[in-house]
This record gives sequence, C-alpha cells and structure tokens, in this order.
Amino acid sequence: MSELIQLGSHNERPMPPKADELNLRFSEQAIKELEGLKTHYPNLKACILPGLWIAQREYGGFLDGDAIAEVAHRLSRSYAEVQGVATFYSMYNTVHNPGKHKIEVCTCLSCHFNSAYRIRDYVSKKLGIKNGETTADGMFMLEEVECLNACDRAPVVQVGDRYFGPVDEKSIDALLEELRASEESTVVKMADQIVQVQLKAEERVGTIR
Amino acid sequence: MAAATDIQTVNIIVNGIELAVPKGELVVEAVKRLGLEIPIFCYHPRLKPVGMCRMCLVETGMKNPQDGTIRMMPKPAAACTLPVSEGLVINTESDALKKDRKGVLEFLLINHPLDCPICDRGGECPLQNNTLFYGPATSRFIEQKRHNVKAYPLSDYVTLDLERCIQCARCIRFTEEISGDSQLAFRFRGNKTHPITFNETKFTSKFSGNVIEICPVGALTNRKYRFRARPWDLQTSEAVCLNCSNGCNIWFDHRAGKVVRINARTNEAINEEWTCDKGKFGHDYYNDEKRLETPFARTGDELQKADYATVYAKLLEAFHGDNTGMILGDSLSNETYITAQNFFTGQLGSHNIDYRFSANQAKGASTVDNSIASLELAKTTLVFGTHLADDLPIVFLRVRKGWFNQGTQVILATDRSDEVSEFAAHTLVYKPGTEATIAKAFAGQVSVADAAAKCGISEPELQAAITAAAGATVITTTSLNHEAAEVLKALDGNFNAYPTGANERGAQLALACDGLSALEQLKKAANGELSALWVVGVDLFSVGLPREEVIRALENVDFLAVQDSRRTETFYYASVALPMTLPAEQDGSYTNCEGTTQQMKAIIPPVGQAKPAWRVFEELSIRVNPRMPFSQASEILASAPAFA
Amino acid sequence: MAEYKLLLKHSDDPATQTLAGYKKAGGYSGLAKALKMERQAVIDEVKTSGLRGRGGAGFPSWIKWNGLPKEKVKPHYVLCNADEGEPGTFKDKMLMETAPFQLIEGMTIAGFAVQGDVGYIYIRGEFIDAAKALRKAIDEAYANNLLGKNILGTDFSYDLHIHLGAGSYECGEESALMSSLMGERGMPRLKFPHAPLPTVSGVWERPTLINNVESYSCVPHIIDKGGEWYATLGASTKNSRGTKIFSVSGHVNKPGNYEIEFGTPLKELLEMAGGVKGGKLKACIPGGSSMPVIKPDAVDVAIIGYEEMGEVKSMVGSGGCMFFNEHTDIVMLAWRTAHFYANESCGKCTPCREGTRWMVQIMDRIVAGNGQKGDMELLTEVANNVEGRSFCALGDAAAWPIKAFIRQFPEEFEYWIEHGKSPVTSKEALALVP
Repeated sequence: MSELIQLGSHNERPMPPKADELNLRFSEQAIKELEGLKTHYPNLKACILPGLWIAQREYGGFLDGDAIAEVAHRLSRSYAEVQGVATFYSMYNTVHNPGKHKIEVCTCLSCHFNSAYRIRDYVSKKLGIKNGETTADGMFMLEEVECLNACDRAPVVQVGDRYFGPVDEKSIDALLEELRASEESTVVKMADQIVQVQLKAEERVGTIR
Repeated sequence: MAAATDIQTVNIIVNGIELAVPKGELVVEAVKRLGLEIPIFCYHPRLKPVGMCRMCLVETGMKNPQDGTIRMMPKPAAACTLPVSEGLVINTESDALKKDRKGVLEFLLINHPLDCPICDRGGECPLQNNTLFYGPATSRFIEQKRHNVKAYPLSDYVTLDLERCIQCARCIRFTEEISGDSQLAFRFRGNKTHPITFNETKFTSKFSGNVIEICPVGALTNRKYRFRARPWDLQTSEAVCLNCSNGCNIWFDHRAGKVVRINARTNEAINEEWTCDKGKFGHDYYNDEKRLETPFARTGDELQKADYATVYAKLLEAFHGDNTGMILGDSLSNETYITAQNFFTGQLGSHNIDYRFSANQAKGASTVDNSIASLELAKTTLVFGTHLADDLPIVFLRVRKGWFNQGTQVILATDRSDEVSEFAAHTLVYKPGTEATIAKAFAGQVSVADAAAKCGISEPELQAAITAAAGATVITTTSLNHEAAEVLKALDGNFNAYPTGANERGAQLALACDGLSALEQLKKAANGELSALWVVGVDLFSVGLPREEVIRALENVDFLAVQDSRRTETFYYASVALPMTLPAEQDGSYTNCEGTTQQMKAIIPPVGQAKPAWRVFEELSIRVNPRMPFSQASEILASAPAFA
Repeated sequence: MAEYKLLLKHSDDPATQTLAGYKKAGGYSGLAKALKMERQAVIDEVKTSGLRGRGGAGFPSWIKWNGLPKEKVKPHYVLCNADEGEPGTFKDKMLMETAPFQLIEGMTIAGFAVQGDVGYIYIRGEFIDAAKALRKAIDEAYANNLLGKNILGTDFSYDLHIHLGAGSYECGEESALMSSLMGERGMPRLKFPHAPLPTVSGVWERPTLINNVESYSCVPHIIDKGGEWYATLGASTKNSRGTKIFSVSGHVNKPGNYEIEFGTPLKELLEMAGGVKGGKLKACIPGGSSMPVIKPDAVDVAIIGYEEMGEVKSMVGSGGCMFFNEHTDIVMLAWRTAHFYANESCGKCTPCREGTRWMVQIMDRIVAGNGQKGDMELLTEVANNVEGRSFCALGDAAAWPIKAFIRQFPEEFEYWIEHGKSPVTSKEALALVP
C-alpha cells in the first residue's frame, strides 16, 4: 500500500518550491565533500547517490522533502528525479525518521533457518514496536532486511556500520543497552562513513572510524 | 528518387515473408510495413523505447547466410527495443506468443481495479482493447488487489488514479524527454512503484495535458473532462487550435453543440502529436456565460437588444473616410481580414484598418525563414527576447527536440531565465529594455565590454555566447524591440520573428496597413480626433495598454462599434455591437506563425444570432455597392492573391 | 580433494592488508609483469587461463576484455561489481575485507589491458567494512604510485574510485549497476541485441569492462603465474578452470568461505564445512538463492563445475551454497525466497513486478493455512509466465527456485495445502513461521 494514502487527497496541491525558497542546510564540510565527489564522475547526475548519503548525514538520518530538494538543487537535477532515486534504495530513509539507531534484522534464507524471526520478534517485543516502526523516544527503529551477505554468522543484525552475528536474546540485550548508552546516532554515523570511504585521502574532510 | 536508395536496408523475415527494411528500425515499426500490429503499452514512437511492459514480445531468430537455416532463440524478445539486422527472423503469431501475451495481460490486470464502467478512459483504452484481442477471459487471481490512491488531483488539469496505473513510464518519459520539466518520476520500487510528482506537489508542467493522452490506461485523466461524457457519446471533428500562433492540429470533441474536450491531432509539420495546456484546456470561452448572442444598439445610457438592420444602418451612417478607424484582433480568420480590408478601405474609404498595438510590431522585421519542423535541424539556435514555452509552446518543443535528439546548441538571451535555460548552453539574462544593445553586441556593433556593463551580464559569459552564436538561427517574436530585430535580421544565420497572435500572420498578409496602426488610432481617438471607431474581435482592455488610455480613447470617440463573440469590457462602451461567431462555429482559414494556412470547418452551431465577421462585412458591403457577395469562406480566400 | 587456497591464501593474515605485507606475500608482481607486456598479451593470458565470470553467469572473461575498442576515442571505464547480494553468498565481502590489494591489483591490470582511464568499485551500501578496507588500501596505493598518474613510471595512468550503493539487490545485475552508478534508479538497461554491448557503449555510453570482485581477484595470479598454470586448476572439468570460492551456510557445523578447485565433488565441500548439523541433509541450494534446489542424492554425485552442475539441474551461480537439514520446512524456504524476490524486484517490467508479488500472495496464503487445491499448478504457471518474459534475469531468478522447490518437494506443498500446517513437526521448524 502506498505511503501516499497517509497524506490524503486534497483538491489543491502545494506548488513545488522555487530555488530561492529552499532552506539549504548543507554544512561547509558537506559542500566540500560534494565538490570532491563531483570530480569522480563525468556528470552531476552520478553524484545523486553520494549526494543523498551526504544529505542523510546532514539531515540527521532522514531524507525528507527538504533534503531531497537540496540535493536536487545542488546537482541541478529535478526534485522528482532525486526523490525517485532516493525511494528506490532501501538504505535511504525516505518514509519516516528512523530515529537514532536502526536495528536491521536479516531474515533471509540462512538467517531465517537460524531463528532470525525469533530474534526479530524478540526485538519487536522488547522495544514495543513493529517492523518498520520507530520507538516513541526516537531511539530505535526496527527493520527486517534482505540478505546482508554474512550468512556464515547467521542470524545477523546490522546496526549502522557494524554487523553482529550470530546473535541471540542475550547479545541483543547487551547490544540494545550499549546503543542506548551511546551518544552518537549510528544512522548518521553510517551515512558519514559511507561518504568518507568514497572520498580520496586529499578530498576527505572527516575521518574514517 | 535518389533519396530512397540512400537508406541502407537489411533483409528480414516476418512470419515467413521476406522484406527489406531500413537498418536499425525497431521491429515493432518494421512489421507495420506488412500491415501487422504488435500489441504495446509502454512503447511510444516519440519516446525512447524501454521494453518495460513486455506486451510486445515476439519470437526471434537468425537466418544463417551460408546454408539458409534458421535458428530461433529460446526466449521471446521485446519488439519495441529490438533493432532489425540482416537475417533477422521474426514471428509475431504463434501459440507460445498467445500464451505470453495472455500471461502479461493477466499480470497487468491482477492489480488493475477493472473499474471501466466509471473510468473516463473506458471505450478508448489500450488496456481494454489489448485485453479484448489478446487477454485471458477469466482471472485466476483470488488474492487482495494492490490498493492505492484514486482520483488524486495532481493539478487543475490532471487527475491521477494509481490503482489503474500499469507503470509503463510513458508520462515520466514525456516529462523527461519531450517537455523537459522532469516533474514526474517513479517512486519506490517493485510492486510499490508508481509515478508521482516531488512530494505530491502540483504538476505545473506547461504541457501536462499530453500525459493524459499518452497514458495507455485511465491512470491520468482530464480533470476538466472528468465524468462529463463517455467517449462513444462524443462527436469529434478536425480543428485547429487558435489560442496562439502555432496552429496546433486538434480534435474538437463536442456533444449537443458544446465543446467537451480537446485532444491533439497529429500533424508532423506542426505539433507532431502534442498540445500545450493553454490549448488543450483553454477552450472554455466557447461556453462562456458572457457570449454575445444578439446585436445591440445604444439608446441614451443603455445598450439594448437590436436587430441587424438597425445596427447596419447606424454603422453605414457613422463610418466614412480617414476620420474613422477599424481595429481588428490578431486571432480572426483570414476571410475576416480580407473582407474587412475590401469593405473598410474599398467601400468606406478609410485606410485606418490595423491590428498592431505596439510600436515594435509596427516597425519591426516580420521575416520568418524557418518552418517549425525545420527548427529541430538547426545546429545552433539563438532564442532572443522571448519566453518560448509561453509565447510559442510548440516552437519550444521543437527547439528542445533539436537539442535532445541532434544536440542543437541553444543560446538564450532574455530578461529572466525560463524553461529554455534548462537546456541552453548559454543563458544571458539582460536588464529589461537593453535588447537593442545586446543585439548590437551579437552583431559586433558595440563592444562586448560596454554591452555587458549596460545589460548587466558578465563579460566572459557574453563573449562566450556571442562566439557560440555565430551563424545561429535566430528565434524571436514580432513584439521584440524593432531596433534589436533589425540588427539580428542582418546577422548571417536564419532569422525568425514569429508572430504570437493566433492569426497575426494572416493579418500581416491580408491587411495593407497603410493607415494608422491600432495604437495610433487609439491615441487619436483619445484626443477626440476620430469620429468613429470599429473594434472587431479584441478587448482593448486586455492588449497590455494602460487602462486610463483605453478609457480615454473609448470615451472620446463619438461612435464606437464593437463586434465580438462575448461581452468584453470594451463592449460596455459601445454605440452598437454585433455578435460574432467563434472559429469552430464558422468556416474559415488561419495562417500560423510559420505561414501555413489551415482550414477550419463549422463544427458546432453558432450561438444566438452570431455571424461570421466576414459575412457582416459582405452584407454591409452590398448595401453600399450592390454586387454578388461572397457566399462562402473558400471563395474569399481564393480571391486574395496574398494567400495564393 | 581439499581446499585450494589461491585467492584466500593470506586471508587470515592481516599483515597482507597493508601494502608492505601484500608485496611481501608476492603481491604486485602481477602488475609489474603486466606493465611490461603488450596489452593484447595480457588479454591473451586471461584467455589462456580459461577464467569465467565469478558473479554468477560464468561468461568467459577474456571476451569482455577483448571487446573494448583497441583504437581508443572515448574514455574507457573499468567497473567492479561488488554489489554482492545473492542470499547465501559472502565471498566478495571477505575478499574485499581480507585481500583488498588483490582486487586493486587485478583491476589495475584490467585497466592497463583495456586502456581504462577510471575504475569504479561499486560496493553495496551495507558493506562498509569492506569499503573501509578498500579505501585504506587505495589510499596507500595512490601514495605509492600504484594508482594515479604514470603508474610505476610508465605512461599508464589510472584512477580508482569507490562508489557505494544504497540497498538494492537488483544493482548486482550489471546493467542495473551501471544505472545506479550513473545516479539513476537501479533498473536494468537494454542489453545486446537491443543495445550495444557494454564493452562498446556501457556506462555514460562509453566502453566499459565490468567484472565481479572474485574475477578481478584472480587476475594478479593469472598474470603472475601464467594463464597456462591457472588452466591446470580444474582441468578435470569440461570447461571450468581455476578455483572458486564457495560461501557455505545454513545447517552446517562450520559455515564460512571455502576455496576449492573446480572438479571438487559437492559433498566434499559439505565435509569441509563440518557436515550437516542438527540432523540429516534434506536439501541444498548450491549457488545462491536464485539457483534451483537439489536433493541429497544429487549432492552425492554433483561435481562443482559450470557444466557439471547442469547435470544435477542446478548451477554454480555465485557460489552461495546453503545446506538444509531434515527439519527444514521446504515450503517456508520457498515462502522466504518468494518474499526476497518480491522485495527486491525493481518494478521495471510487468512479469517480475506483478508475478513476484502474486507468488508471495499465494505462498502467504498457503503458510497461513489457506492453501487451495491447484495452488501448486498456479504457482508453477505464474513462475512460467515470469521466466523468460522479464526484462532482466531477476525474473528468471525468482521463478527458478519456486519451480524447483515444487518439482523436488511436491509432497511438502501438498501437505501444507491439505492440512494447513507444516509437515515438519520439530520445534525448530515450527519456530520458522513468523
């Protein structure tokens, strides 16, 4: 079912924002990084994916309309096109704000047969959220994902830039505790690391951790 | 015919029949040479083929040139993306293909709402038609259908129904490839994929109506036509759009004497198969409440209904010689202009008959070197002082097509950036009023540095644009500053000052324009120096002149005759008024911006006692000087050497 | 036969992840040798080696290499498909994490051979560890003149970039990968004969070489030790040469990556992975989730080779080998597989977009206990309508396993449909139903 339904139908649609109505939020670092990435490709269109990664970091892990519009604006592409690209890929958070930590439970074949659904349900019960939802405090989002390609460690859970596996109830408990205590949003960190690894040493503004 | 042999051909076999077809032609097109039709959804001849819907699957193989044996491929291939090559073997009919087509249609239908009885597309729907010929009779699908938004208003013109959508991307490709605004895109993936605007904002494309027509289902429907008729209840007639000077060919769909909708009619030389929104959705004036239905004459302060004889008598009394004038709109038929000129100058003896409200129009160059179709072949195009997508929408599509298909280099010089700047290699935004200076810079008559400073453009940008524009085909309009127009016309390349009024070109050809221009007549009238003024088919309050000036002119002229299709603001100042038919209510011809004269036939009956303007002029003319009048429009056109 | 470690030889030695360590272990001798050879000779060496694409299709690599124009008029691109997403496969991840220089060297040799200007490693977004390892190695390679301008003092210049995906299995399909690299939705592009080959007009309509991580990783060894030597590996098979890394997972005691010579029996692979855990063997998906499932009797006789696996009606694929024990509910396996393909279908073509969802709906109904007589036939029919009709191979990949599950284990489907519950009654099996 489409996310559109939630937005309801109105007789008058709002106008798309004009270039001078945009609220641009990219930091100086982000602008520098985008300039670096532009040199990797023969055209600006190819920077849409890396640009969205930068935006996902700059906008706190969630690519809302403003974030999409900013990327489109900076790369001279149409808003609709960039939104179309962003919504195609499952790692861009385009539907709702994922919160601070996204718990991605792999339930694909090998994990499935190594109790992945038990793990998913455990996390779900423990956090009181269903698949695809975020806790009220914005701390955790639970998402069932397709094969993470670490089947030797099944069942596997990915949180930000780290893989955990094989996991069980005990290790999930410990993981959630650790995450709850951490200052940094793993969603934002993941986006940042993805930006950093794509930059050459001389282009890099941040650090690879 | 040397040209025919220049095309490289290849030999292919279609359903056992050998034939030679141009190399590289798509199979879906090549088989049409045998009168065969392959069912399609996503394929559209004017869009890049994508092979998404899989409806056009055919069996393919290769003929071995040595021993003549044929080896067929194990999988069927999409005919819409496969170019022909030497020895290609195609089967378009087989039991396996029947099954393939049935399978694809079954897939398309399982999540389709099948709400044909309340769908505007019903009766003219490719999905219905293909299902009838190729589809399964029953469904094996017993699961829940995919649900999505219905009747979603994307704009004032377009309604989106995502349940009906079959994800063929025609609409998306149109906005990317043809109109260039890229306002539609697929969102999400897999079975959630659907076309939509960014964040469901308004679909503001100036060509949005076309997506309704190319949609192969009822996913995109015409909001103005919604639920107003079933297609089989409509009468449809060939017509020409007269909302601007491009002269798009259209289908005029009407019911019980009223226009219901407008669709594009293919004319390769003009609009191909597109329309702009102003044309497609801008025909409400036919059904305007303010239509003028009878003649009127003023008694004291009041305009009262009158008969033609009374008004004719008053007109003939008031209009004589050069102390009187006639102002014509720029969207009247050629027949109107011809008979008006004959009558007003020939019979009434006044040379003051004109349509031009701006000094630039009056003095500027009206040369047109290029047909619309030839614009797409230009190597370099300089668009000067016009906003093409608004002023000449179909010319805009041609220029863009040239850039998209052949890589035409486009240079834009204008007072604000617009749709052309999206693909222009150079965009110069100059200060309003500096057109002449920048034109002279292109001609090398002023230094680049001086021009740049004066026009508010950076010098290197101007220099780069000037260098790139050498030999360019210039596109502008007749309202461009006349000094600039003269300079640009003298440049090396082709020069086109396209008229923007729907039949401005016809007025240029038919009218002598040897007296006062429309603007000059109004000035004279304002000074009380004109005894009578006759205004035909134009509301003086909507031609861009200051209101006070228009009011002064109308109040200071002794006798004002207004001939129009509706009660315009000018009408209320009239001494006498005559109702006039609109193009679809009369026979007539119109000459578009490139100079093509196109015929319109009377499609719907006239409103009330409205008459074609030319008939009024003929009826008056024989009252002055009895003779055999013209009885039909075609005789008038044949009599005018300018349209020979 | 036992494991034959060629690509994974130093996988447990972190020192080889530094340039010094890699060189000490014999690294970069391949590139040094290649740079002294004629470009064509490098390609011929790959031809002699008999290397076939390790991404799943098994296409002879040298034909791609040889397909790029020899007279260069446009920039040439070298792409590495590191969008490993096939369920059951995790070999590329390991190769990038433990032997980044091997891949970089392979891509550099490829770049030299095809006159490449820029290389891109398209890594799936989730593989941040692999990307980090590669970034470290690429930085070091740049600093030591092994990438960039005038590599090792020759006139060969070559840039190598990392490009991360963002979560899409479809981008592992080479044309969809190119779409994604160019900043589009990861939808497949027209392929020959509908469009020119990528080697003629690929990414940005320029000549493009695209290979899998494992394929490029073989190249330094082929050049260093010679194609003839490489071709001696796997010589017992019909047409499969060299080694292949199999990612073994599922119900095995020692899941992991095992590099074997072609010609090794499948059951030996199972033995290397410590045998089946939790019961007897019931089923094996030998080459990643897209490949047809086989039964124990076939596992007993199967020989690993591109042609040889065909004899048991399956394929080598990407080497994601999953073994399942007797407590495995095959219908649940089919159910999860169907969900995978429906979730990952890009939505471009009708059969895959609609067919994968329909199959999911039927499977959902069966595992909810509402199966109907005729569902097996309908599933097979739907799969048949997807297979061969879709735009790219994902449609086939979605259809094959479903058809194979039904063909190999009809009795389990029948049981589910008739009784509305699993024929497997063990606790493990019951826990599978979400």
